[in-house]
Amino acid sequence: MKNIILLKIILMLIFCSCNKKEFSRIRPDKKLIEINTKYTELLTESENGWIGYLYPTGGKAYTFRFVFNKENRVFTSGTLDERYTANEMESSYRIVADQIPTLSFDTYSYLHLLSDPDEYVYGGIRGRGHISDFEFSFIRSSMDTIQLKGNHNGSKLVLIRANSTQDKSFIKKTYEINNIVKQINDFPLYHKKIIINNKEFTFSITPHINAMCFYYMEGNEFKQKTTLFSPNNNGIRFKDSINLAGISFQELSDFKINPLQNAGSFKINNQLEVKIEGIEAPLFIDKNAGNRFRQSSKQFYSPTMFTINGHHEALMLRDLDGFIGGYYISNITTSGLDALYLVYRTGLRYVGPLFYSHIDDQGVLKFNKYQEASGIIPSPAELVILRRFNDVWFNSDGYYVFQSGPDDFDLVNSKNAKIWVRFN
Amino acid sequence: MKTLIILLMVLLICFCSCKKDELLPNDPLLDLGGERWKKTKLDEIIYNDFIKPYNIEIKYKWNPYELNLNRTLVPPIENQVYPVLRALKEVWKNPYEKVGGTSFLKKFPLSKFILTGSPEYQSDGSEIVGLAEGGSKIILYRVNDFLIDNRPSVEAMFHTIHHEFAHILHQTIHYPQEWRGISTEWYTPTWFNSPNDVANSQGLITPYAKSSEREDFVETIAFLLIRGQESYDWIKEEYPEVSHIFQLKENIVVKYYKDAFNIDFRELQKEVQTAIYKISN
Repeated sequence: MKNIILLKIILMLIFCSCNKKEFSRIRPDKKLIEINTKYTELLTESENGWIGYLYPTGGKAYTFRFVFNKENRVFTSGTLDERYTANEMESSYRIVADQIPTLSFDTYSYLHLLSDPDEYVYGGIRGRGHISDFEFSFIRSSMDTIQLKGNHNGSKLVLIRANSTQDKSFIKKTYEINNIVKQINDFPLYHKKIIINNKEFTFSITPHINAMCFYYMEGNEFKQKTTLFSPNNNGIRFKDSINLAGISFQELSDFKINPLQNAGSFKINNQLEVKIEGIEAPLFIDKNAGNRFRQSSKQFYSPTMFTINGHHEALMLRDLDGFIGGYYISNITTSGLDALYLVYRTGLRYVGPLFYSHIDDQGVLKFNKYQEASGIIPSPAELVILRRFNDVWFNSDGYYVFQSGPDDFDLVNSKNAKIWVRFN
Repeated sequence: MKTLIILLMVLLICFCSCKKDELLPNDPLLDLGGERWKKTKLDEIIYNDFIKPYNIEIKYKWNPYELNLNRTLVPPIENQVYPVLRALKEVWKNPYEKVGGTSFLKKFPLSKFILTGSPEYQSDGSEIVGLAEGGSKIILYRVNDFLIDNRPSVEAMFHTIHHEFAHILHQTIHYPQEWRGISTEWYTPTWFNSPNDVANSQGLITPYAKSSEREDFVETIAFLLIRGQESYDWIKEEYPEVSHIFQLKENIVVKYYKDAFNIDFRELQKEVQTAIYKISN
């Protein structure tokens, strides 16, 4: 009996023992080295480098040009500031075998300005900067596109192989194109119409937050598509492709803007030319935008307040010494009063009206004055400027509200499309 | 029976034993011995001046695992690294070697310096200017703001370095018992609520010296070395009611350096002061 049990155990051991081929697969280190070599070659073999479209988690979008070499050096230029368009900054990079293969920009370059926690370096939030990244995990790659994701904050970086025209002058050209795109806001009329595939749309572009919004109707319902964009040497490139009137596109190019004529054009997919036309009245009204604007907990800011007839500092609020801008704060009191404070003397003083806000059934936001000058009592000269502002702010026609970014709103006079203010 | 069992065991060993033709893999291991990159001139300076003679690593390339993962920080600008290295040599390494002998830093070494471009902000908005971990690693922040020809900038960075190195010294040979009880009544975890003048009026050289007995000890050393004897004496005169406490602490520090390391603290002070003057002028 004992022998039989013993024999059974032995037979079981023989049959269940390890498969000897278990360790014949590729070893992890071999795979790691292969991946490391593959990405290094991919990055370094592009002669003109890579165009990087960065979408930090903190918002906005930026365009960079990176040229990598095999000595772990990278030459960076970017659209962060006009000063950085001319000179490349040399720093170092390496491919790190982290949990996911990672592209680490491991010494400081223009890219790091967005992550710098010292707000005096390039703005942003103290301790967090612009909530961006400089270490990115490889998510997907092909010969001409690399998708990456920030390890610290999850920002999105897309690298696209630079073509022969995208040389050292790329960022300078991009900056110039961006300045052309900005002129769209110099149109005397706020509302801008385009027709794509026989369907009408209106749109807004907010360059300093890199947001573009398309407005249209679907049946009887107002619809809006918002996308972030980053500029390049042809025009602008969206964070993700967008579909309008059955056409899918990710780039707008060949911007031609003529503000004085309220007209311009751009191309979709480098082919389809779309005419821009400034119009007197909105084609589509977002009746709920006023409520979203008032219900947001954000303190909305506008550096210049009203744009009138294409002039961004139309009310000359800079006559207030050290004027910083206007702040809209909703529900500043428990009774539901809203405030619009003009902040001046580099932030030491503020003054502005208190008012009740009312949104009618057409979505028009109207302000009913409660107090002309709340805050720190202004001097007589300052009061004159405030009254100049109040005359426009309390215009009885009220304002249509359009959402012009992720949490950004434009107020446009309901009867006069030449008067509008953008809050970010 | 016995023979059968032995036979079966032999059979078992034969069937289950390892496959002999399997060789150990000879693929190289990625980053074995540390991460590698093409060495630059800066890397050579670090190797020749710090790694080779002292086994002190100077890490200036970004490595998130050396830092607080919950904070946003950035690596240094490369151009800023060499001035820090130069100052490290002149304001920290040379004075100790001159007064304590060439092997001094080899006996009480730091293992690495981590250079970081930005400050580290706490959630309350305050910032960390330097940090030592395990008595061997020092994190230097604000490297991007370091100005070698600006005395306050040099003082700020090297106060941290001398402070942390003093920790290493007292962790090797403990400070004298006499230090205990001198300022115990003022030690508090909320030291940051005391401005400089309050700390000074209590017989403590800086607000941070109020955080604990050992911080008090190393802050006194760092102050005497970096700000110098004149500044220390000025505080003594400014707060006569606690001048005897400052004097007692100074005496203990001088005696400690002599007894524990056979270092003339006055000489060391002079060397550090001369180096700061030379480097920032």
